[in-house]
Amino acid sequence: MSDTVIDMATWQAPTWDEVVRTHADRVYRLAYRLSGNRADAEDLTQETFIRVFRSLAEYQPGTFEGWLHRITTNLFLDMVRRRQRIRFDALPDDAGDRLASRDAGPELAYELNNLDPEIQRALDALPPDFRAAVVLCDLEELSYEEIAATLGIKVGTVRSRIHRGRVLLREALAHRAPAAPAEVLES
Amino acid sequence: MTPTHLSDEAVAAFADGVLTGRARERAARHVGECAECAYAVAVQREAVWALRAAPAPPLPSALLDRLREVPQTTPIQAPIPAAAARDGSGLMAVFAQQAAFAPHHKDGDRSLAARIFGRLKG
Repeated sequence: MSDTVIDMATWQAPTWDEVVRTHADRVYRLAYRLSGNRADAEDLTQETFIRVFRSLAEYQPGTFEGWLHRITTNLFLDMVRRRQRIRFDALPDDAGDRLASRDAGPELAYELNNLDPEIQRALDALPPDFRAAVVLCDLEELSYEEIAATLGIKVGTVRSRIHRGRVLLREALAHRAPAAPAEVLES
Repeated sequence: MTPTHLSDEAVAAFADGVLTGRARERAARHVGECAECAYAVAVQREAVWALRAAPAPPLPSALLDRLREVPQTTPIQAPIPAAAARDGSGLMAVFAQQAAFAPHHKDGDRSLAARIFGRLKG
């Protein structure tokens, strides 16, 4: 049991408006980082708050942000898997060799809506599971343990996904490198 | 001689400053001697800086309005968890919580709780 004692006599449940005002910015930002475009970010944010509203009975004081992160991230991963399935189903029989390049998706549509297209595009090019780990770690600043709980994976897996995700990001952004001593690797 | 290189996991953890005690000392010593691992750590940090420097768009105000209206626009789903449905008090607890989060109407609009209980009574 938790040591935290909540004084139910003085604890006031927040109004819905307070919940929205407190958390909407952060949920939207997370949804935007994960999905890479505004339309999906809006859908994910709205769906997150609908889920929250429908399952308020599961809420325990103190875990609200973690709960929101989990809902948003899982909705995103569901969305990605659904789209991959649809894309796969729609492929003609002779498209086998095109499957080899897994990131050949249509990302051009994102460009117009992004504030920093380059970084967001590098993020979008990461496999979704890696992207989720990197975003939760570096932008939402969750601990490895919190990320493991959010994604339902082991801490070791979190670390290796973060490592690999950052390496891929850095490679994608290599040309705008500030002080990347590339020759170190080659020497 | 240079001891074994840091594992990928250790590189990430060292770059993030979350290694402690012996593991941290070992990693720090190795990074001080091994250019390859020092570079790997730098790559991790540079990726973090690049990400954090990228701005995110602000929350659209139309979206904020839609979120505020969620209690009005979201139907309370009929299938309440089985445990709650069998047990009347559980059901009440679910509604009480949802009602607690409902907007407080100043204009005499019926509260969420009133709508739910009104519907229950038929």
